[in-house]
Amino acid sequence: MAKPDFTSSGDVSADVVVVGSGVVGGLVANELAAAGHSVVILEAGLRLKRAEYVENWRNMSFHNRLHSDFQGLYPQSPMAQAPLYFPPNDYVGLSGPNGSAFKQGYLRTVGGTTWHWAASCWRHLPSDFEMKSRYGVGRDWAISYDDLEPFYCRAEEEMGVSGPHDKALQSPQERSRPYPRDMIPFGYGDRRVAEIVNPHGFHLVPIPQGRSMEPFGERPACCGNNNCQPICPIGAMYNGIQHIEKAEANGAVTIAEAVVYRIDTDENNRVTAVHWYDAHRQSHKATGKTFVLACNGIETPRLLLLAANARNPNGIANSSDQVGRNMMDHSGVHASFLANEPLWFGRGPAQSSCIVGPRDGDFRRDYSANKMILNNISRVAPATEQALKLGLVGKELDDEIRRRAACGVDLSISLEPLPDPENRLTLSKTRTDPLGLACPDIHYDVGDYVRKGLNAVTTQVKEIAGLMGGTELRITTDYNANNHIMGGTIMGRDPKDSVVDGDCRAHDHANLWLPGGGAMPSASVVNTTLSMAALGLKAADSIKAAFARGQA
Amino acid sequence: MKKVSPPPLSSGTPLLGRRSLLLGTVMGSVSVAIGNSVLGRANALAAPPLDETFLGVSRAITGRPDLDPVLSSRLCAAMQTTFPGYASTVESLARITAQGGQPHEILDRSGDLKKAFLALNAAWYTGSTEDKTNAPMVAYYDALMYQPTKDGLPVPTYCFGRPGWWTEAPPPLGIPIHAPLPATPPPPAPPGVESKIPPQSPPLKPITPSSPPYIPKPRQEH
Repeated sequence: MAKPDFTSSGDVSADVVVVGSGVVGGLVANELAAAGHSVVILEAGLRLKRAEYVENWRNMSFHNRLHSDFQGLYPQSPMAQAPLYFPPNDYVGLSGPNGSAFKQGYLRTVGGTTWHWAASCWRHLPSDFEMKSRYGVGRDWAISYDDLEPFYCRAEEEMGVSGPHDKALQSPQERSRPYPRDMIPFGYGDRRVAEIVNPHGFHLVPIPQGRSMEPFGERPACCGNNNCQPICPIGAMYNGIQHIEKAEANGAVTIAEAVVYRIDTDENNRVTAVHWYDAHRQSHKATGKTFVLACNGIETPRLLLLAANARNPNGIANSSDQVGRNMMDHSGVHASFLANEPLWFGRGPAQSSCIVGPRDGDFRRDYSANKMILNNISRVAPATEQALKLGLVGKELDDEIRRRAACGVDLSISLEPLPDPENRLTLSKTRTDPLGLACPDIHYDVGDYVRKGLNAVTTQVKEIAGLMGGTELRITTDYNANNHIMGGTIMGRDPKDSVVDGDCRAHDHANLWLPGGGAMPSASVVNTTLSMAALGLKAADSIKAAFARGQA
Repeated sequence: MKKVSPPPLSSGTPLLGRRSLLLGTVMGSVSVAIGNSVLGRANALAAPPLDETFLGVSRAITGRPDLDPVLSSRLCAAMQTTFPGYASTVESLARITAQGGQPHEILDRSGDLKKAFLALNAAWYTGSTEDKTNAPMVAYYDALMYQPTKDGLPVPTYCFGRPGWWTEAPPPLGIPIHAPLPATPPPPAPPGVESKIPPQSPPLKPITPSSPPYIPKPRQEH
């Protein structure tokens, strides 16, 4: 088992230096450690235990929980801020027509943001890889669906994904291997809504999920605690920490509270070292043969820009000037209404089924596709807020809470922005973090493609509500963020207009890989994590191949 | 829990002042048990402590005689932190609840205190003193809001015991789908101070499906 070498001053050298300890960093680190390479993982944030997060959540004020304060329960390292919204800490400066739609909730902590995801493990559609050639909009990937498909399979197998074995319920249906586990069975609400809406073409299907009905490896079976977001209390949901622990079992070493801020390059523009500040503001150096930055869609481009050096004055990997551009997320809306029958959402895992009928079609030439998650998060808290506002007490209040909780429907709707170089992350000229490093600023406009897509969504939502005898139908009028951050280190074949190639290898630096959401040139409408994981595994294979050729 | 009734006083029991009682408690290495029993007797002679009044008011306005006294004490303390002068509010509320009646009857005759009653009731339901960012909270699992659905919905983070329980049929709703709404308009919601609720559209009119039904183009598999 290869181990990194530490000096007495706290510097380290390893075959592979991975910056970021989320799902992508963990998967890559585990692959390479298992292949016999020494691996060090540098993580800016703290390392805490699940039980602390669960307690923090249960001890949070009602208002915070009602309005999804999924960041506040994760204590932050004083040196490595991440966004907070209750109240806002303005770590990320937002501007532009839809700046408020980019209020991302990502974690800087060992294990990463999948601590508070809902474990939706979607694949992009084959068409999503060819938006430009099929629909004349956006950009094509440097790889096809077929190129990534084996890695989707591996990612599903690594993460223990349960998805429908029934082909008719798969989206997409093009698969070379079955899901490692069959779908998580529907609860009553999913079954009933499917019965009502599917005859009208909406195509409600099970969400492929990183949890299972039987134990998966060391992971227990899902017990339907209905708290996937912001923390699975029993560890039945896949979290990135699981691959960090696997990587460590294979010899990798994780250093928490290590904020990387500088990247050294040699005369061939190979990366030779990264430098980090520890919790006491002391600087240390990690030297290696190969470097992987997997810090999610905001921190990776921020670091590349922060680390500009004499040979790379616009930032590392940025000869194309595309680092930090093309920022995307599934800017979305929520629609809620009361059905005229009890559906009892809130039984089982927090996400269970999703309407994918409008995921693809020729209309994508003109406007955004969408998907609608039938949220299965308990409606008790919003029902309570609504019922209390009616001024009720006693039995009338209890009945109203019960009625609204049982009949309430919430659709979380995702739209697909196109990559736009003007949607850009830059370094703030006025705000710095506690280490004096520039905070990120992001300018964001969802674009007319999404705005037109929202018109279609509104019609579809009205139809769904109509089918279910809905009352009190409301659609949010501001786009919300979905924490699916993409585009900032965009993939392409041409080094002049893209940052990484089809293996997420930086065009500018032969031994630097930037796997994850930042590489994705099209958003699709589905949660990004499985695609990020697949890209991470593909990157790991190309790193292994480079080692084998003596090029890493 | 039943109301604490004053213990019988024997003629020889000395009446102690609060200061000497505190001293007795703090320094009571000799006889903690004796000190506590004396404290209980002395309190019983004075006006009922705020905690007790608060619990009585809370039981009346929620219509729940089984509220937990420990939780009640915590909520009483948190309400005092959140609302200056809350002790006198509790005393005022107690004058209304002293006349008895169902929760809605108490509310109907509460006049200017209606808001205070609703706020107290809301605090029991949400487990937090008010619906604002980071407002003090005292209860999660025991917040009353989970009671009306406890047969059908677990309190999030807890579960109903075994994988797959959610595939079973949920309980009958047991109440009319369209509950009668109050005739008087609801009071305005207390304004939030720090975080804004996402703006929403006004209520929208759903589209009733016509025949033949609208069928969006199915996605093409390639």
